[in-house]
Amino acid sequence: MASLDAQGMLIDPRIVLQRSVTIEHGALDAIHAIVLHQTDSASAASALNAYRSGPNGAHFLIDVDGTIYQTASLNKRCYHVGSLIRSRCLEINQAQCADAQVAKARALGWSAQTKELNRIERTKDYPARYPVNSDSVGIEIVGRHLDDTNYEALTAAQQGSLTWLIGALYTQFSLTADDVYRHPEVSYKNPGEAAGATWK
Amino acid sequence: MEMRVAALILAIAMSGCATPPGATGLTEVVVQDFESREPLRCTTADVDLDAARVREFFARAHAIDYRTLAERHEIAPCALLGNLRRQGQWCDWKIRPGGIGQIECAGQRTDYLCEQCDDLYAAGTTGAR
Repeated sequence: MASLDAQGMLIDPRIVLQRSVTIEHGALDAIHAIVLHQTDSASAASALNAYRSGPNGAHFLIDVDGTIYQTASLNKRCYHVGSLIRSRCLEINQAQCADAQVAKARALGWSAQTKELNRIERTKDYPARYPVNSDSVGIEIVGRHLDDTNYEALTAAQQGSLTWLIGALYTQFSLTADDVYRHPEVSYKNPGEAAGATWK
Repeated sequence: MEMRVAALILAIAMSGCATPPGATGLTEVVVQDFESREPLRCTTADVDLDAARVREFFARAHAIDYRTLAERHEIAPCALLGNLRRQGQWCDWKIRPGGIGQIECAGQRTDYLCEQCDDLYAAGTTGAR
């Protein structure tokens, strides 16, 4: 079973430690969720190289052959979610979303609406809102975007490693399947990102 | 000699700081269509540009790789579409709310970001829906 050391690194033979402090931004005081991403690169090497100059990145990176790299300390925040989050109430059950502020925001144009919804959501705690950078772990999966709505599928090796890693994080941080999200669920991104990822 | 050195230093400094240029020399810009994956939330009012403002958008925008775009910016679920001529070739273009655009010529796509285009979007709208 994986163990967490004092530096926030997950120690297990299945994890290659490749920490980049350039993608770490302050303390990560709580971990409530996991957000899945795809790198839009053909290899882990490309992503690891980009991390050296920062500032964006995530805590873990899964290569096409299933190799898992830990690229940031779990004691540290990474900028992986994005600055604007969706309205959870609106996304899950629009008809039941009786939030008066949200209704008012929806009358605005798209750009103003997304900013106002973000403002409203950030007054709430998880899970009343989606996870943000300050309370989530990011996992990047190597894979390219194909067009505006699709990314490459995960390889079998990637899916296997993802399942194992999510399980290890569940154990470490008392999370469940309900605490795992694909990036476009939480923020305004290509809807195909991590669409092929599955978890229990 | 000193002038040449100064010019060389300036060129080196500028090449290190330069962002990829916007798309200029575009002709025959035509607005053809609008698409939205969320038609009630992302509408024509959110990207209400005419041909002249489309040309201006791409002149002000800078090229950006998709990965950086996807990481750092919001990708709206709607877009204005059309075509244009660039160096004699017909190309397709797309512009989304929030300053994101793309031009595709013969299967080669370039993504653009315009951070100084709020006025172009505002010019065609009356504010709230």
